[in-house]
Amino acid sequence: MKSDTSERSPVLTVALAVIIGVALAGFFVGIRPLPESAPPAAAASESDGAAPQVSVQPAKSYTELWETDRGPNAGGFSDLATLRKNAPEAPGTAPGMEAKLASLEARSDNRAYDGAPPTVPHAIDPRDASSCLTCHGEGVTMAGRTASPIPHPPYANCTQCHAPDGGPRWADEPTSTDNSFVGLAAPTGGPKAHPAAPPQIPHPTRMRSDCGSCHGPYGAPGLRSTHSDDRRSCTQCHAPSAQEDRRDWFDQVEM
Amino acid sequence: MTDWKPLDRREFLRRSAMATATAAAAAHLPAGIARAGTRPTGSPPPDIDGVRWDKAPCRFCGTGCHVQVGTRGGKVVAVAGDEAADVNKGLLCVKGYHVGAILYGKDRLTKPLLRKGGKLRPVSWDEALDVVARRIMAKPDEFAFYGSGQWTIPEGYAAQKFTKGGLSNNHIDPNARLCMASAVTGFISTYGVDEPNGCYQDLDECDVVITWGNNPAEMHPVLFSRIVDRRSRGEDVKLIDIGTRRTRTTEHADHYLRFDPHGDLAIANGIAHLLLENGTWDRDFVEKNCHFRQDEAEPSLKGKPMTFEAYKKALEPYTPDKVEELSGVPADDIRMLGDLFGDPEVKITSLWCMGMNQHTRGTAINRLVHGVHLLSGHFGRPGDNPTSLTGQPSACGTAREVGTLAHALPGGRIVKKKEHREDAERIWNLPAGRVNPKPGHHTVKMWERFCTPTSEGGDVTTLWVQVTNPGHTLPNLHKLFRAKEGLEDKFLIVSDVYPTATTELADLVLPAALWVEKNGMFGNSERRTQQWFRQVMPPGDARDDCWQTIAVARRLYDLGFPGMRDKDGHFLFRVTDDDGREVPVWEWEHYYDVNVDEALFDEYREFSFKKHKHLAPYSEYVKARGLRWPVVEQPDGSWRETGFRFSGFDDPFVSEGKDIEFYHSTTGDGRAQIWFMPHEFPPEMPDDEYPFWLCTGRVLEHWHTGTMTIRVPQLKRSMPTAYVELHRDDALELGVTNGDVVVIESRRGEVEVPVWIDGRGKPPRRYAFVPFFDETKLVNTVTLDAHDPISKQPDYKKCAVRIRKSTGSKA
Repeated sequence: MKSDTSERSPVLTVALAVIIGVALAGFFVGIRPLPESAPPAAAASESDGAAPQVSVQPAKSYTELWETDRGPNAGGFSDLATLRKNAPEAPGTAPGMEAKLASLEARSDNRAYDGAPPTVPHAIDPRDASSCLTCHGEGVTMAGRTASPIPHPPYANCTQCHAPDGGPRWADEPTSTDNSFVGLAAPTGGPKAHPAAPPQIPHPTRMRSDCGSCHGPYGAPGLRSTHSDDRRSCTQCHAPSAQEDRRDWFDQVEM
Repeated sequence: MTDWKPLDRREFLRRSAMATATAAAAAHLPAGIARAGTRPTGSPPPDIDGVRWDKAPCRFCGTGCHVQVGTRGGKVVAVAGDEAADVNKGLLCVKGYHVGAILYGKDRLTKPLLRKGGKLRPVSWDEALDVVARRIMAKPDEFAFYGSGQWTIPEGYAAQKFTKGGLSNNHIDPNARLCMASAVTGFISTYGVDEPNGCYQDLDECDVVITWGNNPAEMHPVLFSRIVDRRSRGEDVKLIDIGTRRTRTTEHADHYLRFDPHGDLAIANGIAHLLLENGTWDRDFVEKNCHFRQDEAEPSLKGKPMTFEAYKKALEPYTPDKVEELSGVPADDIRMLGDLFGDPEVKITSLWCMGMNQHTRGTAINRLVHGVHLLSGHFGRPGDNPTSLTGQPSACGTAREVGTLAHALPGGRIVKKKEHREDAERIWNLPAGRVNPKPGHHTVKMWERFCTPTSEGGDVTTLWVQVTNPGHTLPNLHKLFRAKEGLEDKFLIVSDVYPTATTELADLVLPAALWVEKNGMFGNSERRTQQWFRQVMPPGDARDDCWQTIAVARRLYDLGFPGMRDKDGHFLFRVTDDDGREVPVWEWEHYYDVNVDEALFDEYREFSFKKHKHLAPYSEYVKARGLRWPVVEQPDGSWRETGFRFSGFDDPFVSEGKDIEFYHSTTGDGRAQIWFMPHEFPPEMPDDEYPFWLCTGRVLEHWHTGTMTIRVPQLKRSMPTAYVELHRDDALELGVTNGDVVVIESRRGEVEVPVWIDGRGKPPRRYAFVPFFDETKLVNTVTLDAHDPISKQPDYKKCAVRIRKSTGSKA
């Protein structure tokens, strides 16, 4: 033991001290906050049609690393809570007829008629559709696409009514069929008692009881309400129509 | 008796009062539509933004959802679920929401087509009717009628009366033979009378649902939602899926019990064994209400009695371990089922459809499942019943109740019984002896005879098909359908709405009206009779099937065929107006001058009382969202439907003071029969040469042969092709992956389909599932025509096949 200590080289002792010193300095430099002007993480901004600027992802501090999720998908857009914050804000003014018609046309692309359950514009798990509510429960905007929340009570068997449009992914059969069915078009607006009056609901409310699905934050731009962010009691001002809901005649049919 | 409707004074007054309402309704109809019939609500259907809304049941399955139909400019433009409807409570399935588009496929048949020089060429209705009538006139005994559970009640009734009352020939059978026959024999041999005791309310009130070889998530989605949506409302309902492959239903199940084909027979016996062994059977219920029964050497509906001791002894071998060996279901799961049925507190509803019916021991497994419920006393309370589901909109209403089967007469009667024939002759005002006592050919036999040369005993030479597609759905198609090709003296008449695999071989095609293009009535799985009015006109020269039958009958009458007259010399289908004058309903332009459906239904109604399947008059169904029979008039003149048959608290025909009474018992003492049926292996099983099981069935988007649904863009895009589900290890061995085409080959034929691994269903090893809707991939060239000895229903769910990669690469 004694001989071991006496035989240690002074050079080695100095080298160890230097290494420890550098490591400590590096650590404290590392935990220092980044300057305010540092570019945001993973920013690859596009500007005015010019070639996107290539930017380098800045190194993170140790404390940041310590608190950051790591793994193969850590950089993915997986935090729904954050994504929901990205919901577009309500437009200041009403979108106007042109925008409304454009949105209604887009809406009719995956509906046989106004009131038909929309077909699903993306692939789904062929057996288990329980994941639908992950996005369509509250609505989400992700990678440029918007999933609107379901407008009706959460029934458990989504694929009962909503068929995936496009069939199994492997199928390359022709999918067109010659059919001359012309479905009922969606209304373009509700009747108003006078120009400043709130419009009456111009469509049935059956299976469309959550107005926010189309008129709220995740609705199509042309269908957005100017005031859905802060006001959620829609039928306080917008009355459903007994006629549209076909309550007047069908209710006479006795059970 | 010859008049359709002898009016009493009350009826006359009521009708007069309704005339005003009818006129008001007619005023709202689009131009060109004349509608007969009364609408007692007194107000016309609503017209909102130019869209007129009216009611109809859905055209597809046996659930019987109520659809609100929106029409504008003579076309259907929208549909909606009816929120106040008890069946579907506002929901539909993806087929139902798109049912309106089935009318508008571009290739609708709009003209009668007669094969001349090998090609189908347009002819007039006049010529077409003449051809049919002359063929029948020449050889009435060699004529057969083949229909389906899609016949409306009046259509089936007209065909039934035409064949059995007019031609004295009992060769009439529906495709329901391929679909519901074993359920019927199960009900009759257990309770003495057909159709379920329970109703859909069972789904709302049960604690446990057991699906026996059943995938309601896809096949009866609205009913399935009625179960699983209870969970989202916080209710606790357990789902036990007893099946041969994982399906969408399995994904919602608490327990999945995978069994080997025919293992269901062992499982049911295993439950009964445990009930006896554990002493948990319901001694009080059984001693009051049941007998024990077994088959004789020759299987029959009635069988022979057995003692409780003999029953117990017969079940002794079915220990959980033995059942595990026979079915592949772990013994612990059998014990779980035994404990479940042994618990009197829990309410159990069993559901089944084709898995138990398309079974070479279909009658046996139906009897056993009823037996397990009876033995354990899980019977008669809401939520606690064995409930069979049907696949067609009027399999119950038409095929089973009107009895369009080779051996049956309306209202649960059979041609063999003199008393029953006399009833029919009385109601139809026919001379005594007109109805033939010899049962006609059942489906398989009918087609076998039609496809056999006349010189070799093929005694069916003219066959008229209405509302079904046997060239696609018969098993073993080469033998039972394609063999007709080249038989010069055989003549196939097909009434349909689109070209099908059946019209391909037709000698005469008659264009038919579809769904709301005609008046109609259906009867659903829970004994509910529904009515609708014509809401749009059929395209071109397409006409009602019922009119077609009546028009041919009239041709025969004009040609002097004696059978088309009743005993007073009147036309068999004499319909009179309110003033008692005969209306020439055989002329299309006068067919809707009166409501022929009403006339036929109110005549048919007289048949319904014998077996206590009481129907209300037609006018009651006009104002109802369907009524479940027995429907009985109350002292105040209202009509009361029945949810639970044989249960004292609800069924008006149960004797005062009794909880349960089987008042059509085969033993005549108010008791049901608990059958012992042994486990048996299927007639064809996989071997070294054909190592895979093949099962066929449906998918959510398509209905039966897809004739209607494949023409709906949303449905076709969702499911454009049939496929084969394979286990991934089998796919690996075969060297195939998703989309690769394989050849599925049995001893009878082969079919090429693309592979789907981990798709809609997930089969075990050496098991293939192919849906049958795709007319470009006819899987029934492969299936087996072996059938149940009692019900004569074939087994589409199991046969042995081999599979190889197709040399023609991708689909």
